[in-house]
Amino acid sequence: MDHNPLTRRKVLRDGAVLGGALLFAPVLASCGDDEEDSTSGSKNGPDVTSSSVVVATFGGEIDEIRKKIWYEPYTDRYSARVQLVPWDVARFIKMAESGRSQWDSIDIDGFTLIDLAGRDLLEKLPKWVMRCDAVDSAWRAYASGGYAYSFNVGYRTDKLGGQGAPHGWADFFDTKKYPGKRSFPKTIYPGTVEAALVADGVSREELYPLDFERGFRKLDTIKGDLLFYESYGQGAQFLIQGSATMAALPNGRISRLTRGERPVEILWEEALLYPWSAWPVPKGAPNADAMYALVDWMAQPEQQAANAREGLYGPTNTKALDLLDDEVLEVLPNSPAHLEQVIVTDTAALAKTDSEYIEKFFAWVGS
Amino acid sequence: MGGQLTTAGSARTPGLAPWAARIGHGPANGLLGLPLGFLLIGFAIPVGMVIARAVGDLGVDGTLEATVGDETFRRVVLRTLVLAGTVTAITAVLGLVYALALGLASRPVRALLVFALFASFWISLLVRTYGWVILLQPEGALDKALSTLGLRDEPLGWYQTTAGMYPAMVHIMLPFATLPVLAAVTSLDERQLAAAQSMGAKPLLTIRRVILPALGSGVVAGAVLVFVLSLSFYVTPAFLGSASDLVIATAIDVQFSRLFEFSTAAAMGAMLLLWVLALYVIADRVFQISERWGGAP
Repeated sequence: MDHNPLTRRKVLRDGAVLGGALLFAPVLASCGDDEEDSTSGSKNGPDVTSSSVVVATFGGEIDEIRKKIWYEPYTDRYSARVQLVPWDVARFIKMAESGRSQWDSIDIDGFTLIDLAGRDLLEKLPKWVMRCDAVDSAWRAYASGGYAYSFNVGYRTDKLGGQGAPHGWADFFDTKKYPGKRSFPKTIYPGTVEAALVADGVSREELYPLDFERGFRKLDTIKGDLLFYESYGQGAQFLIQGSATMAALPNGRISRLTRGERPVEILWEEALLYPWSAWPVPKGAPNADAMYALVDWMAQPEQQAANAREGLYGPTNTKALDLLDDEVLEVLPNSPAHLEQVIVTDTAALAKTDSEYIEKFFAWVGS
Repeated sequence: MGGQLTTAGSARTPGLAPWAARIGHGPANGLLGLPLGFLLIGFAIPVGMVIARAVGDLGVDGTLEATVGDETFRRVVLRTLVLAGTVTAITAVLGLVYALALGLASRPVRALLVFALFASFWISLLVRTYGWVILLQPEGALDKALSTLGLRDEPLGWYQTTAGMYPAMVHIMLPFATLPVLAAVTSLDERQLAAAQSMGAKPLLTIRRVILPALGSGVVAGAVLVFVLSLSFYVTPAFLGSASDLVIATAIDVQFSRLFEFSTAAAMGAMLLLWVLALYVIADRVFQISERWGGAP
């Protein structure tokens, strides 16, 4: 081991990093709405006094990845500890409605944020928080982009029964052609009704507004074959261990499986794309200052690119795409490679029906 | 036994009111303050708050309407009663057999059986339930075992069904049914058995006329305990049961954490408590349960 801390290699490497950072500075400035002064670290920058920040996340693998690429570097920089709690959107909404939230944010879809902002339950982000271009400008007061993900079918390549690879949601719902259980969410509802409607033959143009009754009728046709999962980790586990031959999961969960030596493949045809997730800060958040700094941190191109590389979720800060090589771009849901195949979900339409979606989905699960 | 204590108490502590004397001897009454206080703070007050929430928000009419008056909840209650009843019947029989085996076994075998029973009892409930999840999952341990033995090709499909809950519930409730009987088994008088045998009784008659009556109250005590526990059981139905076939505890969970209907959840909880208390009172009147659980021989 080299005991001399200042070797030639180190100087070259540090020089390259610094040079790279200087290159990105104009990139940082260009990202964001003209109205908002969104260069981070500027004079109205983060002043974090809280010692911790509480965020609700989906747990398991993605938490471990983000601890490494996001949360620990954030703590190094701002000294606030990131505390992760289990995801529960209904609970988050209730807390926001009461005005005394125990959580500072939750990993949520853009359309839910729009719904909550419309009901005046959220704090506006300070001007210095970085905004990302994938977020509709109407909502940038409240939202900085998180990441893009899609709701895909993952399937076991060794349990196809000689039928060949599935094409689209109709095959997910066809338990005669592809017998076996289907791993399906029990408490996380986005994409469930859309998947059923697409499988039932509804075209992309006519998908929204969602016909909930028709969707749940279609879901009832395979309800006996559904293996419900309480968390994405459990859903992926069903697929890994062969309990289910197909699973409906976010793309990252499936793609990370295919990276290993597993007989699992991801289906991009008819994948449901959610163009931007968000980190809403509720009114009465206990550590709002730390959360604003965290939102800003997670919107930086480097952090966005790291999430894409490790978690396989698309950046909402499109400048981050330049930091990624083709191998990674191929598996990102919002990359040009999948433009033709994915079905983009209608954020505005979903925002209008969010409460209805939640209520009807849970009613269907319990029926 | 209880009557004796009362008269002895009032005789020994003439200054005490009869109800205080029934609780215990004068000087010891102070010590009772600690457990009673704990019971008050940890049990009576929270339960009272739940009932107050239900009756306060919904009124007595509303409480009844949300629970007994609701068709879905009635079906849930029926399903739970069937589950509890079946599990009780099975574990009562199995508990009796296990306790008898324990009583009749040689020392090394008995040690093994006792170890197995207590190990099962002391291993965390969550761990045991998760063990059943691993067993019952499609292509899980049970399916793999059956297909390896060539007995069955297709998965059993018991996971996330109502039927799948039963084996796990029996497994978890077995210690509760066995231990009360065990106490009676170990106090069986062997001389009675020898006497019966010497008078020419066949084994079946001995069992019927000598052993079972002695064990009867132990079996009943265990059965009532298992029934009451099964009625309100949460973990196993939540992990192994079907999302559409709820039991009382999981129905309360849905109301509370999915739908945030706190009042309805409180109403359901209050009704469950009421029924369990009623059951306890009946069991005490008919079977003298409190004496049996109190350990009086």
